[in-house]
Amino acid sequence: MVRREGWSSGRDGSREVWQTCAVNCGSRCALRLRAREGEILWTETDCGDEEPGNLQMRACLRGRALRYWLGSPDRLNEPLRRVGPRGSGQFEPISWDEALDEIAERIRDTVAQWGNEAVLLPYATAIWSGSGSPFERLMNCYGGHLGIYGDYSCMQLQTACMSLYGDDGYYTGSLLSEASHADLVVFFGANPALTRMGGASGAHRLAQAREEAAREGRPFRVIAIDPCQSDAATGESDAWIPVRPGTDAAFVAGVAWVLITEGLADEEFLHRYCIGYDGATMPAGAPASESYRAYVLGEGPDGVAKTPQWAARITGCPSARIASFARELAGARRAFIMQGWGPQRTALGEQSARAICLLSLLTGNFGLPGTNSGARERLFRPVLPDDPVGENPVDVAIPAFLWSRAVERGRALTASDGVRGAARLPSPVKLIINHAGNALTNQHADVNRTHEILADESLCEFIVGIDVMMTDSMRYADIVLPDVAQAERDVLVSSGNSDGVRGVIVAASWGGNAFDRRCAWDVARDLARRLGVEEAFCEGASTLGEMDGLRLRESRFAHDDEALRELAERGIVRRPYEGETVAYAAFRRDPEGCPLPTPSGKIEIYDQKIAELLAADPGLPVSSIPAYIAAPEGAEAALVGPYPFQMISCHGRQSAHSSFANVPELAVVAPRRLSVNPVDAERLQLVSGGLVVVENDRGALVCRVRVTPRIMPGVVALPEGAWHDADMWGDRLDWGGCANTVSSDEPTAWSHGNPHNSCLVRLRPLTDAERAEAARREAAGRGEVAR
Amino acid sequence: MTRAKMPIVSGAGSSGDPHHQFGFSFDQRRCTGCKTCEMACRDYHDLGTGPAFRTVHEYAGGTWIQNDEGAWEHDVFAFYVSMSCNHCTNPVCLRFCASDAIAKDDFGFVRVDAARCTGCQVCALSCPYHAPRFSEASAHIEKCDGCFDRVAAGLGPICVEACPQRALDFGIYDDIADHPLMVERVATMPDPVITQPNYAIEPCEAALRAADAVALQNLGEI
Repeated sequence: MVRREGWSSGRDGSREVWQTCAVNCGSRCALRLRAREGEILWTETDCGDEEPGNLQMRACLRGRALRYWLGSPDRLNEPLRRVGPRGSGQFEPISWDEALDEIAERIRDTVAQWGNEAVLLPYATAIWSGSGSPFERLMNCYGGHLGIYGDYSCMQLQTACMSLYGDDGYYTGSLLSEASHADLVVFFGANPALTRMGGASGAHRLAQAREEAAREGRPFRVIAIDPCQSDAATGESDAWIPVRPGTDAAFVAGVAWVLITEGLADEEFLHRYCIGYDGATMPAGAPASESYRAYVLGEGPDGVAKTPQWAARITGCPSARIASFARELAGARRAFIMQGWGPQRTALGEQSARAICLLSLLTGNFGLPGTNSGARERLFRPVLPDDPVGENPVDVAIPAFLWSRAVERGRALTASDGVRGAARLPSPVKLIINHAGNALTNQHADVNRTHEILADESLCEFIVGIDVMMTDSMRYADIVLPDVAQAERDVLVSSGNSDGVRGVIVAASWGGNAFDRRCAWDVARDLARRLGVEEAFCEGASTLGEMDGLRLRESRFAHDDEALRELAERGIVRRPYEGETVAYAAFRRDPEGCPLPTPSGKIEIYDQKIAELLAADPGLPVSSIPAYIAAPEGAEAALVGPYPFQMISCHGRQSAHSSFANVPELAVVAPRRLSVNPVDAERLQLVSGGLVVVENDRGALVCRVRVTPRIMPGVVALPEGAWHDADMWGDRLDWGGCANTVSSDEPTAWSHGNPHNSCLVRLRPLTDAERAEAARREAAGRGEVAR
Repeated sequence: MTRAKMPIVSGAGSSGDPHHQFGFSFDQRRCTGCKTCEMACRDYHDLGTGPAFRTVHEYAGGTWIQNDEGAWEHDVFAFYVSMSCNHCTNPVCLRFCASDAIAKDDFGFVRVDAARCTGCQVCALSCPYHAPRFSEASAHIEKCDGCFDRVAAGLGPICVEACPQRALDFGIYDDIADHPLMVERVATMPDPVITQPNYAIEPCEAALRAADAVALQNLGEI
């Protein structure tokens, strides 16, 4: 079809600019906005003729709803000062000068009284465009701040990869396109069609791999091992193997039992490349009985053979299916084994993540074309470097997930809690600068407990919030500053972190900024002036435009004249990724010449550091091998305790975490629903579209049900990201359906990560009073129940 | 019986190809049910939270049985169908319209003339695909117009250009449907004999096998 440039469809006076949503799905798809007089008329994307391999960065439904999001009544339009109790959402407007004077004074006083370690910039990802935080730059110029490490995405998988392979696994997996050389693709808790929905992301590349195999007459099968039926596994019924959340390591042990006892394990590979598989590969001083093989065969300390029947009781997956999967896997010429971030986001997630990787090792599907490491598909570093934020002079850091404990427990937090750079926290957190983050409450965990910590003004004394929307986290700020949305300003944007192309977009302003909003960079610079560090803040670049120039000069396109010309002419340039596509290929080719950065240089199925920790404290819920450990809120506890359902908080289509979750147009297209299996629904008399209360000791939420056979019995799934909506001075019943009303904030023992998918709940019908309230809200068109 | 009507647009733009029957095709094996097509359509046609011109139907079936190990056996399957107006060759909506507000244009698009529509909704009741929808806001019938303005300008319909999976396509129907795997009906869709829809589906395996055991999962959302 011939494309006609400059077409305007009778909507005259409009112009076209490139933009991206820049929220945290990880992709940064290309949006072409048709705008006129500061209004987006409609949105197009990257389309037209497509060259093979150079995938168009087509936006998903959220990108197409950009104008509804940016035009939301929840937008922040002027600086605000809190007037009610913290978290009450009661504010009064103030001037920018008043706001910035007060913030500068509080920063100055806090640092003077408590030290720079008392200032926290918490985990915040609502602007995810490869640009650094200007407030981090500000604090680095002013003596530093308490550091955070890790994230809420995949802390346990990073730890697992570090243990096995010596790196965090973000940038070392195989590309998903490598699956085209496999005849069997195995996804554990991975749904690339949902987590990254853009047109240059995994799902389309998986479809291409399937089509390539079909054209060449090769076998190609995708098997998804998951409590929910992934969209990667629709189409064929035996392609979905449901297992209970958190039981992946038990499933793998059952598979390993079949592989080992039937002589199907690739022992030649295991002996050459790994330590800890069997007695012959144990490190010096470690007994053979602690090897993984001994664990599986029942020759380890627990004396239990990990037969498929043993695994069936835990996982809920029939033993015959475990065995047939093992044989199919062993029979595959090449198997591409990959995990999403769901299995590891559990209380014993490090064990799940390592065990899944182990399937690649047991079958030798590693380092060869068509294989992966068992970790997630490779993410890419941004094409453009981040805005430089400078060095943090403070070298004390805490795990990202532990910030609320750093507020609550202060100096009682020690190295065993994950404090780095000091034996204990030098100071409690007294001041929080929360820029573009909704992880103070909504996207953190155990909202009700976290509310108590934040509402106590004797703990954290001052909270600054900078954002584009009045999120639940912003309600806890003492001063709220309205930011200009990234999609409203001029900025260079890199292609996303799981896109199969490398590209840059010249995102341009289109007159959408209005009211008394100010760009965060300018605000941070004004604060720097007040704090006497403006010169340091502006070093190298005094405006964001200059900063973009620096970033482009350091990018891979800096010396590619053709690419730069294309960027200048079209406003977008993308190129296929060129380079190694197979995880750990060099190590597989030459394990002695290219050793892994682990202590042994080999893959460490047996972790000696953990063995030492266990020797000192045998009660630690960890294992030196990828063994299954039952979680306090896991599958076994669900079968016997008062909370019979395992609840997972998966991604949804309607929002990227909590970004876009307040857009009614998206809620109409993709309503947020609690998935319930028909077996459970029939027993509890639940019907699709009906309301239900989900509750445990931590809290209660209201949501609508979707009865679907695409989730296993005993498990319910609620897409995370819904905006918390409760009377925190009343019954605290969350009418917004925020999954974190019931999730646990107890960090994992090994990596201090977030255990969101280890969450037991019960479902109950609404009381008469609740039903009446639901009707009132529905009539008023208020909140989630109205959708 | 079809009545001859004046085309709403005569002599449509030169880069499209008028005087052909255009239609959509859908590669079901590629669709992940993401609903970007629906959202792009709502955005372009300014539908807000009102009735949609294109919707994604989720079908699923299968049963769950607990075996004597306490484990769960299942035979669950699922698939999606993205559906708009099929711009039928024999559109029943047109036949039932008492006010001559529905006509086929030069592209073969079935279009509603808002000025003539009385809002009686008989077309909406007659269409087996439920394509015409009554809009409370405008008090008349609204439906997919094939993005005729875009097609006339040489572009694709907004939904086709939006699809991140490249599952939707569009063109002269005889060309796109001329493929041995293409069908015009899967699962519980109406018999194509009724209206001769210009909608060709390349089905996934589960949709071909499904037949009676399948149920629409998201009726309330489409």
